[in-house]
Amino acid sequence: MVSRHGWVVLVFMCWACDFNRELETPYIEPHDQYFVECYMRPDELYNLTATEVSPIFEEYILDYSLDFDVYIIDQDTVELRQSLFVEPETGYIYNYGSGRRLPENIAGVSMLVISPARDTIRAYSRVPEQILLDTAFLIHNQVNISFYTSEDSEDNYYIYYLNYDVLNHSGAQIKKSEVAYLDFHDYSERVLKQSSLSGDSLDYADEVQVTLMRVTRENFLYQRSLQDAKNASKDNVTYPAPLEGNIENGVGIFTCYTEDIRRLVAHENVSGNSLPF
Amino acid sequence: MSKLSLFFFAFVLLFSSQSMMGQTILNGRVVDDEGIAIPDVLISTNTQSTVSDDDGFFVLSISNDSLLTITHVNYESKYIVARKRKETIVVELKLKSRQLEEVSIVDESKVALDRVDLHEISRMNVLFGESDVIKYLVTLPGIASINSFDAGISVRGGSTTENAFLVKGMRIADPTHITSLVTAFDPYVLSRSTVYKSGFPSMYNGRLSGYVDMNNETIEIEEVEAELSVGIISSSAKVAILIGKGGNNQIKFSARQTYLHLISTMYNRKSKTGTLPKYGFQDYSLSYHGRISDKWSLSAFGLVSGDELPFELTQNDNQHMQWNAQSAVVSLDRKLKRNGSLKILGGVNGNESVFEQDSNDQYISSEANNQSVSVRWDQPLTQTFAYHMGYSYERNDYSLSKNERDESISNNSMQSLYGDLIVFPNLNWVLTGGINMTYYEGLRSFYDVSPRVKVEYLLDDLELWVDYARTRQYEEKLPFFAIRSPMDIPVPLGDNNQSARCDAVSLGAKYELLEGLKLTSSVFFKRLDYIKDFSASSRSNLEFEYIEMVEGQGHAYGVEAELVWTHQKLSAGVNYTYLESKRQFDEINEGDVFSPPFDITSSAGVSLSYALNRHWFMSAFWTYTSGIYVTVPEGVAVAKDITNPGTTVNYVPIYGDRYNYRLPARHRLDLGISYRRPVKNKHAIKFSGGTYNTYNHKNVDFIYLEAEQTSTYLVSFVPKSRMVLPFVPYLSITFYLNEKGGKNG
Repeated sequence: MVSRHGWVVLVFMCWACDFNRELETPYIEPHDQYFVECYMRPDELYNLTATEVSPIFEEYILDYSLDFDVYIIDQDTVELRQSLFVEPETGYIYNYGSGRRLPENIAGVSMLVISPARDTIRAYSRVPEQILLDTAFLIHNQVNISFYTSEDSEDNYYIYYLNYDVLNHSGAQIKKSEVAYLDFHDYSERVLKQSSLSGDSLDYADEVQVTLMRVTRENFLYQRSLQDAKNASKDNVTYPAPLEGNIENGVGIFTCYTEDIRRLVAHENVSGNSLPF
Repeated sequence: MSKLSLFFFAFVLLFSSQSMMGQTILNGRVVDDEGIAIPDVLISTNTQSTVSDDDGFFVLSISNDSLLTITHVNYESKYIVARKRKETIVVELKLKSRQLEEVSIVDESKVALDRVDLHEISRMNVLFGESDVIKYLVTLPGIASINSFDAGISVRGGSTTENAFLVKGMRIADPTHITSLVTAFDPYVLSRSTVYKSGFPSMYNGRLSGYVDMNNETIEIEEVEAELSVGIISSSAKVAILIGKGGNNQIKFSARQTYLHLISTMYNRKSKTGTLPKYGFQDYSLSYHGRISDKWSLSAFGLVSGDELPFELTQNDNQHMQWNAQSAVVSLDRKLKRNGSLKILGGVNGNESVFEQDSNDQYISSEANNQSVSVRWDQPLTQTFAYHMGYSYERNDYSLSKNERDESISNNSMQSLYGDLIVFPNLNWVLTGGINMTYYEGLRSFYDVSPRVKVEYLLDDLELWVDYARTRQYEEKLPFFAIRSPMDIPVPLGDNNQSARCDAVSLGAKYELLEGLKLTSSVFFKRLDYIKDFSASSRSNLEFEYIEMVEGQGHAYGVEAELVWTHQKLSAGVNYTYLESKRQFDEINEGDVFSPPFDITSSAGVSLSYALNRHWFMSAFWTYTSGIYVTVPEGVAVAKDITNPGTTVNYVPIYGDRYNYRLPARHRLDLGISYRRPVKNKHAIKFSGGTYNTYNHKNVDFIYLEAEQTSTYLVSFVPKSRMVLPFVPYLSITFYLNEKGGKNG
């Protein structure tokens, strides 16, 4: 039992445990910056997003109408045309595209973007060698994979992630994902490596999509900084995290990657199981 | 005795007896407030003067009712009317509180209530049941804390990485606990501390801004005494023992353990809004002081501290941080004639931090170890000259390991030769000149020469001083996060770097307006060259080989004033500091001058303490500091989330300039009350209670942005803040076993 005085102290402490406070919105003059994102895979069409960075404390409007001149230089110079391209799987929108595909067996590819203010934005990406999963299996709430590292240390940056769907109590489908960033750039020989990812909700999924990406170092750092940036609304001490990338005179990433995808069926799972919440 | 000598003796007796008519011989002794003899004190009348010997004794010929002036550079002057006395008079001198701009801090628990006005740390009571050196320092003008996560102090607009923590002048590891609630410096063991904000003696070098020199002096006990404190966030045990014949050897031990992690666990069980990290720490201090003979003594000090801070971000993304520090200092002292001393010192210390993150199998371990030896010689030459000189050698080893494979190791060493010459041309002037010459050997080698000058003028109740000091720094800490923390990684100079340099000038005055009412004021200016920062604002996700140490310049200037009033059982103080601190690097903010986090424009403090009677003691402390500068994004973009197809709109903050947003001002009021009473005439018990941040001001420690949907198509980002330390009530109980205070009540 809490005494009368004890309750007074408890109420006072609860009042004190309101740790948050809204601050005045400052006016911060942004530097003129452009945001460019382009992910390329061998034998896939060129798609690219080029927008302007919006001032943080003004109402955000995603403006795809800015008029850039966009070129990708592989074996030839390819001009990307302005239009809206919606990626079917994700709904992500690109505003520049081409009917040209990234040639296979190419070492690297460059980008040149001329902004509406005639600023020159450049980037270069190497093309990593194809990645192949050696094994991938699901045990309870854990997915274990194995794969061989590359003899080229520059090709030993990996992103390993799981995507799966689960149902909640009301029957609504929830998309879940788990990610691991694997840095093996110290290796310059072919070595079998293993990695695992787990998730409590995996027990409730019928199928798990396992993806292993071999990425460039720049993309690896960029993705990790994106991950940190996504945690911005979580008040952990790593915030703020500056965005990495390889865009000269702008922000974002221009990169090639390879990937291998497996779909694992959860044998023991009963279809339609719902999460305990 | 030769005939000539006899003749000479008779001659002197004959003539001197004439001049001594109407006069008498006064025998006396000069001691400090602990009864320890003070040699070389000048005792003078209008016509005669003498100097006290090594045991503090003096003999002087005086007339009846003549005014005696008793002066010493380190003590407050005293004036007494001398009369015919048969017995030896004892004159007690108080240590100057302004001495070399130092602040003496004495363990609060050793302070009798009737002397509370003499010991400034007692004004703070014992916040959270723990008296603490650093907690006291940040109440002084010109010294401020930056953030609840950063346990360091900013001295006169300097970075928290630009201060040295020393024991007996020897460098020790940074034993920092996060939050400003407690640090590992326990005044029970480190019973006297001195902070230098400018006018550094030549032995101090290696840090640009401030030096906190602590001393494990002996305390007055009877054979054995102990303290056991139980508080709301931690508990501690302290023991002091006299051993050996005549109690020539004293050992002090202090141990503290927090249970903040248990409080976090309880909070997290009940909380629906978020979780608190389960932060835990402990520290242990050990001190030995022994008299080997009348001239030789040996002292030793050791401090070990450890902290653990786990963060549960998501199921697959847990962060785990731990850091620890170990320090040991041994000093062999020999007393020399005329109050000179020779000290031979040795020290080892080390800091280690480990960061682990599950989601990317990241493991980062940083270690820095330091070994040093030093020889110092202090010697008053005559009544008007004294010197202080020494030599020190220091070696530092740094290692940084990533994922337990990729390890980089470096080291450096420094040899310093230094000396100060102190001149007392008359009773009013003290002139000090010094030089520190350091040879640095690392990735490159070079010599540094750092001159020091100080002029003091003393006149009755007025003291004036002006000083200049050049200091150097040979390492900088890479921020592990976007704010300073104990995880920061020490980085030595690279092959393109030279030592950071600070030229500091300070002009000050102290005046006793009324009895007990003292006003101290200083103006200061610092010019900074080759100061260090890093090409990345934090370690973030970068690989260390791509982070460059960059060099720049800066300045800081300001004015500080403090008014202290002590009257019987009341002690009150108010202080204010105004400063500007700017830095400039070609590689940061496009080369523009910017305000670093420690550019705290205004800081003020008001303290009040009152001893109601022999048992009750009350204290209040209010502090205000201008907001610090932090980095917020200046733009936002939408990025693709390649690992999660379910995310269609992934807002990403884009950062531009560093330190582009000023947080609101911080202020808080702490109240404390304690009741102390004797137990069985030999022991004592004290109950301490109070409130931290009494009116629960939401002092901002972190800032984050929250996306708010303002309409179907529009999103805006709102800056929100997070505080670490809200209103916290506390209660602690301390039991003093066999303690002298028990007798005094």
